[in-house]
Amino acid sequence: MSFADDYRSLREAGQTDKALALAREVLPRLDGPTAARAGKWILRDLATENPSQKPVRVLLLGQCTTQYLPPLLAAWAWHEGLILDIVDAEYDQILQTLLAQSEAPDLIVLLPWNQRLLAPGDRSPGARLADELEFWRLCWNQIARLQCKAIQIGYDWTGPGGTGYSLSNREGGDIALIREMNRQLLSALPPGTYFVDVESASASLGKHAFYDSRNHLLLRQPFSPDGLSLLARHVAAGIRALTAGRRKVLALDLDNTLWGGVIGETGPQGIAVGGTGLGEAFQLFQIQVKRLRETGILLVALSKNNEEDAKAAFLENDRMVLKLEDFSAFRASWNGKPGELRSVAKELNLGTDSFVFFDDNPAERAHMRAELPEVLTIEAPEDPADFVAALVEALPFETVGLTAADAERSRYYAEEQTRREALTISSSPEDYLRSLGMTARCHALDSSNLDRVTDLVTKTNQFNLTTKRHSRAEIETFAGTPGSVCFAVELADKFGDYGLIAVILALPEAEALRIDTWLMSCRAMGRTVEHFTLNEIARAGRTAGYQRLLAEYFPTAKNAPVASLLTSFGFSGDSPAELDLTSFTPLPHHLTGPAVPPQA
Amino acid sequence: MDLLPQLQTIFRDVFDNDDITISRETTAKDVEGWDSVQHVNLMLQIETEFRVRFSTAEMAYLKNVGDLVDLLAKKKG
Repeated sequence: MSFADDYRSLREAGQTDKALALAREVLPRLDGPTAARAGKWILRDLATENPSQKPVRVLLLGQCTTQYLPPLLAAWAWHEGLILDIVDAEYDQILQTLLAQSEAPDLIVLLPWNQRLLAPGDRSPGARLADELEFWRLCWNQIARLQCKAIQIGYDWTGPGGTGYSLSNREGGDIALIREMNRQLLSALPPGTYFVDVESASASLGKHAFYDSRNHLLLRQPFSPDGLSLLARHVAAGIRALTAGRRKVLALDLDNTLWGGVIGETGPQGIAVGGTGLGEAFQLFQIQVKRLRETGILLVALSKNNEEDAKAAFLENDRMVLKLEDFSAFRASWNGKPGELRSVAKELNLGTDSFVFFDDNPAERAHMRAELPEVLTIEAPEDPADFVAALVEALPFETVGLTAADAERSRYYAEEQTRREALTISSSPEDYLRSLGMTARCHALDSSNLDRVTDLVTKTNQFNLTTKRHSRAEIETFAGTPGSVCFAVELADKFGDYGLIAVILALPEAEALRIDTWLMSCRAMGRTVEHFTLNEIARAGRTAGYQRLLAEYFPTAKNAPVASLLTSFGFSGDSPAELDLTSFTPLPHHLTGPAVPPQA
Repeated sequence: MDLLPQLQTIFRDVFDNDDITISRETTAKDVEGWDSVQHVNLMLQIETEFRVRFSTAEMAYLKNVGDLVDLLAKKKG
């Protein structure tokens, strides 16, 4: 039986709570696509199953498409014991969304993508870095205004770029640019912000496994399903750190966890620790645990042993890295481990949800999960050589560091916010849009752009009034129809060229001009391109002698964003809605540039 | 080998609808929610289950389920 089958049958048997517990437990072992499906089920079932637990409200904003992330984020948050209520914005609408946000969510996640930083063009590396940083500063100011928690994901490279590996990490190379960007982001980051080092996270899986260029091409979302799942895991660890704080205790089994062998049988000199091979694996694990201890994590020994035998390892074997005094509590007994952990929690005056449990024995792990699901029980691998990696990759003790420099930055942001309010620089969506320096051009349809236009007609779902999937030949016929107004809009801003992003196909009908198709790529939404476009339709229509413009909205599952477009632009009536071209006043927008007159 | 039953299970999972019945003639219009976004999800899920890899062009353009079955049959050799 696969996980999916198990989940379904538990749910059908009315045991949704058990299904959810299963999903929470097995998530680290699922491949990306299966984890995403688990996430969908978790999103569906969790809120109804746990109505008393208050969800964490998360707003997810990305420079790439983010809609694949919520199920995985919900799944990994559930693995951390959290329930999320996630809203994500449209593609590359980060600042627009933030500026328009009146109600603060609990937490905002910012996901950059390197398309603008690495865009072709002659901007200097310094200008590229400054442009990006300025953008994030504007975002952080908005987050400061909303006073909510934030997770900033870093930048990443998928390949070395045109210079090849040998030069990419030198000045001006792609990798150098990404690393410098992350360094600058980190040093400017507002205090209390959790930083996801995606460059390292992707390296742990391998860049080629973390990314999938087909997804970038088809979805504007560069991650593979496995990569997306790992990214979600890191973000969820951040959400845990920001909402529940860092976990505080690592509870460790002893036999075959801290050393090889059973000390009750072999004695303190017979256990495997130190030297090379297997003993070294246990020693490296101890070194890792010791370092955690040094960062403030409390250690607890939780062993089924005679206390005297267990302690002998620490007292008599000098290859042991960990010493008895490293442990805040030492429980060697024949009692059940969940009960012992509960009593240690009471003794240390800590909640059981701040405990992490590491034990090589699957039966002990299952027992712990069953009795104390809030304890993070790490799936210890069979080979002790993999213990260190398992402990690290479970992200049990991730945290937001707070230093003196952080506190100083806290003041800087408070001041910066006041300064900006005084100067009203980008204090409104309009100011931001103006600052983008957007230019637009209208193009008549011809063989040079028909492929791209057909592509847009075939794929555009959201900003699409009628969602008519015309063929290339049909579009060509429309363009050649006398009296038609057919054109495409090209958009650019100071960061780069977006290419053709909008298509208009309008045909003569009786004495009027009727819009058959009006669509726009989602990456151009929220930039007043639609205002510019209507002005151009009206201008071309009037030039061709039309007095009335007709249009219609056909609702689909996806095109709600344009449900009220026609009404808000002054069309009246219904099916078709009508606009009087003789009295039409051009709509205000934030685009400039030469408009090549569309054919009419 | 008839791949349709196995594909149907994947369709039902991806589109979260146990009533979906597919045939060679099924197109995106026939399945609720089969848009460009879910299409890629569907193809990635098929890749995982059938242990194949589709090229970008193969992922982007398929006329109907029949095309998909033929493509899979070709890939599985």
